[in-house]
Amino acid sequence: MNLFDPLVQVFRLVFEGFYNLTAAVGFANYGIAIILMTILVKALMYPLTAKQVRSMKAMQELQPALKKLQKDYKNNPQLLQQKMAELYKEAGVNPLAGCLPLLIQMPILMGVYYCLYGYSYSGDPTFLWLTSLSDTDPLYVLPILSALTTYIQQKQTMANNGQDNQQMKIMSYMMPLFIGWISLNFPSGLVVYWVTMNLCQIAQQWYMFRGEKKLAVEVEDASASDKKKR
Amino acid sequence: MIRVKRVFLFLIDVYRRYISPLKSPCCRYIPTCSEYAMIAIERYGAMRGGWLALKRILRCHPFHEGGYDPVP
Repeated sequence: MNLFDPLVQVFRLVFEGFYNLTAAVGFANYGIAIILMTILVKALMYPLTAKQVRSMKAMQELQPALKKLQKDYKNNPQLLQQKMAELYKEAGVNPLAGCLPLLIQMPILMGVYYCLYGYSYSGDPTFLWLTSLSDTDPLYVLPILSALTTYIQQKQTMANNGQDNQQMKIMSYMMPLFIGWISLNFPSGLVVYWVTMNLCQIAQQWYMFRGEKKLAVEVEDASASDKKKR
Repeated sequence: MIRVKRVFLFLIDVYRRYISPLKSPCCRYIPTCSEYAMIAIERYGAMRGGWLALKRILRCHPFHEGGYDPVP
């Protein structure tokens, strides 16, 4: 008995439901069922991220006030952080998503993991070039894809935080390599889930951060012109 | 005897050192959830401090405004 068993049962039902759906449409395929299930999981978490998009738009309006704070408290980073937090609170916005959305993803990931890891496929388990979704990828395409998409997805968030230290750089290579390495030994079905999850995340982040990159450039421009004045 | 408080603080320390840097910053609060948990557990012990930390993590999502929220 495993802690995630109830959740695993739910995912198993959903997975079978999607498989039956593909069968009803005319091409029964477990691979497509996995992709559909992944998209559903991501869609269920959408309310959490949609709220973020709205708050990011509101952040744009706060920029002038933020710049003023940054100027006033540039010698006291701690107080600056506190003042910025107060400003966010007053305006009812916050650029960060919070700890809970990340933590919620853990049990979901574990549920899908256990659901797909030991799944005994009753129909045809092939998908595209894969001979079986319960075996590893014979061509090593999926492990490479999982590493690559993990890298891109990480890169997107890092570019936006403007973090550029050595430790982060090493980590940005370590994590994708680690994911790629464990994918070598995972059943293909699980890696299909992981790659789809990453692709959804990449699309979502690209959409969410569209405005913010422009914003970062504007702030840089403003501080550059400030320096010129002096 | 190893105290639960020490174990909790050790786990949070491991998280802060090795796991947190892997992901992008996300906490809506100052102090952050992990900082808050350390202070709370240090001050009130594993049970009450842990409870305060748990409540804080449950508050840390896009439908809560976040901001400056020190340990009581």
